[in-house]
Amino acid sequence: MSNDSILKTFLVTFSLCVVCSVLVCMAALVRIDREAYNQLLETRTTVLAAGGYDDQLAKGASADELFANFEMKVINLDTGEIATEIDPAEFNPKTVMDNPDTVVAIPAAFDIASIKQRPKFVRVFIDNSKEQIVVPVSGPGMWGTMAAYIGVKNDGTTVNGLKFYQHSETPGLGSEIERPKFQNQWIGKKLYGNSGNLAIKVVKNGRFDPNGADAVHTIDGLAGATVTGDKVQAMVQYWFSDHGYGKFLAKYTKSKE
Amino acid sequence: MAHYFTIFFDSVFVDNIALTFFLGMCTFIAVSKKVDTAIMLGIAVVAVNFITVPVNNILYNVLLKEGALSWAGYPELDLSFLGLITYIGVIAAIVQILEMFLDKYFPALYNALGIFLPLITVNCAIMGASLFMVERDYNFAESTVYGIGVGLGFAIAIALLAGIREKLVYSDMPKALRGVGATFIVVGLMAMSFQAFSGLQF
Amino acid sequence: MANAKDALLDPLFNNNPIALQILGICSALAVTNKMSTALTMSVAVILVTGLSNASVSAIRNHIPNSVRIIVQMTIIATLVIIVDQMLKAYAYEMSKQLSVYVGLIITNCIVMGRTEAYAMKNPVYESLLDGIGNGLGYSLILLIVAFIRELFGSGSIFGLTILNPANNDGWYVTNGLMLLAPSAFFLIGFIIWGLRTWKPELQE
Repeated sequence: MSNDSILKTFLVTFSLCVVCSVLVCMAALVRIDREAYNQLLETRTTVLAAGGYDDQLAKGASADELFANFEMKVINLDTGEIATEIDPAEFNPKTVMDNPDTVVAIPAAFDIASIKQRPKFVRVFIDNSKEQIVVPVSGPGMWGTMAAYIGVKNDGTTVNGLKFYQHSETPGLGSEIERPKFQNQWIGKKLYGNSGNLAIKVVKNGRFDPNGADAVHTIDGLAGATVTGDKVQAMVQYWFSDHGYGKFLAKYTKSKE
Repeated sequence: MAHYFTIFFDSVFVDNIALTFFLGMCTFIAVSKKVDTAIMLGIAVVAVNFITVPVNNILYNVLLKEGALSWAGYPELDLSFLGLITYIGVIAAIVQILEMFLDKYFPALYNALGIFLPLITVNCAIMGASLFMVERDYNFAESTVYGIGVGLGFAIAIALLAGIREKLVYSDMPKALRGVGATFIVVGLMAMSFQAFSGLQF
Repeated sequence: MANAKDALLDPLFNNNPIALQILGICSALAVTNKMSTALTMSVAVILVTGLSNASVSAIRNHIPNSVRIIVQMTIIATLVIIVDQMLKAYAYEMSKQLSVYVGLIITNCIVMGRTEAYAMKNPVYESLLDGIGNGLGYSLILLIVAFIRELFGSGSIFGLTILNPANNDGWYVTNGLMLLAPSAFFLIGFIIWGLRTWKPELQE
């Protein structure tokens, strides 16, 4: 049979399509199986790092076992209550943001970080063994979205750790926010002042005074990345304001006293 | 409106597909020896991106996206892994159709652009635009603006490079650096100057 | 056997796809700010060029001329999807860093160029070697660029600190340019310059 006959052309293309689609489907099935687990593992490792478990992770401890200390809860940011109607295991932040009913526009007066809108429901991680709660924060950075988890002690103000898991800051300058040197500074800092006012701030590189009165609220910024520092400060300040986790943290700390 | 303008401006200057994402480099280097051919290739890239990005956007939203097939009774289905083969198929088909269409109705334009069209099928700037459109979750209108912007960004970059290369012929460089070597270094300098746009925000 | 050896080794220096044929630069540059991404990308490209060359060559006597290009494209796209899905399954973190660049192997001119120019005319074994050779030539440049960019840009190799950077209380002030896109162009320009000084017959 000639190679260029119509019958042969159809035969070759058809059998090629069958073979290729079988191969592609097999690959996709393998991926679908693993992907859910990969995503779960990624969230768990980030939450653990934010909760101050990175030493144990580095020593090769299993993320799944360490994560057994944590209890997942979905909270309603508007009321500050735990939303018992949503199963935390099924919670998907993307579906919450896709559904107009569960998205809240941030009033301009509160929107110091220009986030514009935030989900109504957020999944938080309560760690019983270290008496802390790990919460997600996100906001615009210099070029793209930054997202992190922050661990806060049960007193509602002491930071136990911070871990960025997404950002597109300038390589070599702003991208240093993902380095331990920047992230470890947050450990032990206090979010709120004595009168309950938001006091956490990121200052320009080199302006940090370890003996100053507000050292416990101050993070030393990165060299050459003032904008990134400002954005990180705005993001954290928004999320711990009354429009963010403020209401929830107030109720949560009271329940733990 | 401001939102569309931002997408357009970003894709032309800030996120220039050739100079910040390095896409379409093979043709970028190969077809930038003369300004007029470079401009012709640029126009072809604009035209093809203007059609393929929105078409791929429709296909993605109606067929491939997770839950997109709910109209056909399969709300659980996620076919996004077929994206790559779909987009390249669409691009190849549209380039072919465009070629035949130009040949029939605009023979003058076909004679000028014709040889560039087959090159475009395997141009990463076209495929890349479709992939970035999916990654950034653009809707139909946004993807149209984005498609034109990416094409125009590529056209401007390649025209500028061709202008520089025409002059570069007269410079006295080490023999081994002439041609491609020098072109790469020039592109590097251009990419640095385009980074000046990156501070702009609207 | 000399033929097979040439098929494998020629693309490394004498006919390097990136430095001389100027093919496949698109995805080459964006993934070179770290050794680990460059290595993953290299392995992916070697797999795709090798296997696509071999499979096109295996059925080369049955491919109708009229649908030649689309048949090759389908085979390449299938292989790329498989590689992409496997990366998502077994190297999730890496696949996120490579983002769209794995998909762009489809439009990497090296792959298409080799199936069209070599695999359509040569037996399976030689085609496989030619594909792997071209993949290796691509990887060589990629790894050299990534080595320089990571070492001077971040002071590390494969994420292990070699030159302790100043922003980590070390002594080495990192070269920020190396982390940005344009440095890759300069480095490739210099590599081509060096290669053509070494082998003057390649000059234009």
